[in-house]
Amino acid sequence: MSFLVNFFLGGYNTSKDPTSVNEVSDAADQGSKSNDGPVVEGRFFPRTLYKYNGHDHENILIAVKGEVFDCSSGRQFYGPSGPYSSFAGHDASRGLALNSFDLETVRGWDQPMDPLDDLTPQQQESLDGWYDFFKDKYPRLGTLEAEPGVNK
Amino acid sequence: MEWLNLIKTAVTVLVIILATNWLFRIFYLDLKRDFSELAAQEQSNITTTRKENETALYRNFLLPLGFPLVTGLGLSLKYKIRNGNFADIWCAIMDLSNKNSIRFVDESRDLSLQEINGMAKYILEKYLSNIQGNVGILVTPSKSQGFIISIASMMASIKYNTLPHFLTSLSDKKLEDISILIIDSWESLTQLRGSERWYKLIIVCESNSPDPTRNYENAISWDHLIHGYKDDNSYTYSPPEDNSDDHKSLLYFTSPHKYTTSFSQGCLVSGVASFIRSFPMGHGLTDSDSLAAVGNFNSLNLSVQIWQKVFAVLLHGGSISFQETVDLNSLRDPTLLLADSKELILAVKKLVSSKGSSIQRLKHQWATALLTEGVFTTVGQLPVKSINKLRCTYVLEHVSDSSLVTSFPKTVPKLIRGQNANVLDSLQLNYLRANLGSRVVFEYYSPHNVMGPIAYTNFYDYRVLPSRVSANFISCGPISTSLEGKLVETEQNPDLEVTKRQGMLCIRGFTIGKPVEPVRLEKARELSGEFGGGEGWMPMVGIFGLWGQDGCLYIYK
Repeated sequence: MSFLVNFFLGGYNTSKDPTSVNEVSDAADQGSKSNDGPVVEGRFFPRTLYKYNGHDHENILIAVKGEVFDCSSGRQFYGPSGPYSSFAGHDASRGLALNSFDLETVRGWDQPMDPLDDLTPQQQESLDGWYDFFKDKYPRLGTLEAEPGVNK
Repeated sequence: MEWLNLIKTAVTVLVIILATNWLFRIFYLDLKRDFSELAAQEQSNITTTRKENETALYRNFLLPLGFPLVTGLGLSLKYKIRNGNFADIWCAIMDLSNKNSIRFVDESRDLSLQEINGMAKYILEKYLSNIQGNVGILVTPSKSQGFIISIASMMASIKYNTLPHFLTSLSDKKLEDISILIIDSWESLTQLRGSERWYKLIIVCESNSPDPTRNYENAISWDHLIHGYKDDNSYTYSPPEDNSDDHKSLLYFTSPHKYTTSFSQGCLVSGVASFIRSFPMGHGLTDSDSLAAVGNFNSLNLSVQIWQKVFAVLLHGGSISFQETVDLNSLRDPTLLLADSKELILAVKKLVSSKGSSIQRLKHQWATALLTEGVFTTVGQLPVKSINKLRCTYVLEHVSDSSLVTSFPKTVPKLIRGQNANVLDSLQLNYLRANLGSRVVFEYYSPHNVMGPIAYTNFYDYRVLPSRVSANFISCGPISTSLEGKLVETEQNPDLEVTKRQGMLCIRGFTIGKPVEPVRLEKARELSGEFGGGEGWMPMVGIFGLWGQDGCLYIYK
């Protein structure tokens, strides 16, 4: 009805207000943004990293050697039902060092962080190679640190 | 019984009206709409991550994330791709030189590109080939002499490293880089008051002779300058194998606040490519296009801003006409119009009052109703022959305090509302669309440090935003395809929250100029380091805005 009224009686249709700021979550916690807002680069804890697994949040973040990378562009590998999906939202260092995709190589968000101090020189070399690969291919978003009271 | 019939009739009429409205909406509006609501809501590509005190990065939706910004013309150099430079553009323009021409404000006829090229090459070889220093230009490019000397100096920027240096006023301090000064009249020469000795040569763009009572040893008239030139329709250019020409400077620009900024060849080619890409499919530039650039660009400090559009139109074989004042009756059947926003709205209002009739008002009402539904129409076009062919109008608006932006102050000021109260809003843009029968693109410039618009509205965006938006914001559209932008938090404005997509504008890309003065360059570096982490971001100090949910930039009024 509004169009005909505007057409014959004068008037116009106004669009929605695009400047409204209400729809974006205002959560203050690092890395715990709602799925609507962008991921904040900086410090991540295993707990805050966990949700970036491509399923609970569209972004896929993976930690390697204490650094967090945005691997969203590699969704076919790290996303849900991808071959390396177990790494998404986790510290993948041990799995990469052992060249293993087993779930046992990644720790849960509520467990102590993996110190990686038992790796053999070959495994360390393998991990360093993977770290260089991630550093060259994916944007670095921050660091992974143990959360007081949860991981230490 | 009569009552029953009356009710039946009323219900029938209501049903017919509702059905007509529904049918019209489904079978006309939805099929004719240029821009779907979804497209209007997704005008930028936004990164999925952001830094702590910044918003995400925003790019024009024509540029997918992960793809480079528009850097240039994408020319081939053996197996590589190069961006190009002025010489590439002019070479391609001269290949089409038999098709197009330019009408200047001081000429009663069109000048062919052969004439312009002939004069520019003559000046290049005779005067610019053996000079150390740049060419200070105080004559607007809308005059033939200003345009030709600018072209000659741009040719020299590639061949001899002599640059055009666009000035906005006569300087009372010597600009060390300038060897040749171009001024508009002998009268202006007398106003130099002894400073004429600073220059090796002064070119006076007036035909008659100088005042015989005064002896100007280093001044020559325009006629003398070009005496002996020949029409020339060729301009050949072969890029060097190391592609070094693409990285050279193109021009200098000194603002009224005496800040000099250097623009590179990349600024030009990136802006030209960006402008060409801004046209949607089926509306691209062709050789039948004619651009009318109206207004006094020197007094508006926009003399650097016209080149990208002028070259883009000439590259397609189109023609150009310049006009000093915004008089729509005297346009020469342009298809594209470039004008300052405030001058244009005044000119259109004047025309509406002179051509106004009840039928015209009714047509304007229909056009407005259709435009705000997203359907473009020329039904409301004013009955003026000179705008019959007009298909797109570019409305120029610039930052309120350009001196603040280009001074790179250490302390960011607090946002003061109400500085941009007179900027056109979306309703006024539709007023222009309806009356001109043309698409209208609003372009937001920072004219002294960015070549080309920072942001511009979409060709198809005819939305009228709610009045509270127009009262508080300038709706600038998405960021230009040569740039990407973010908003950053500032200490002085804690009420602007990045989590709410608010903050001070920072831009990064290929159309940004570089300060020439070492002190200002250092200040720019420091500021860039503070707000951009040294990643090439240029903080636009004093420009505070908000990213809309549609991906467009909204600057606080």
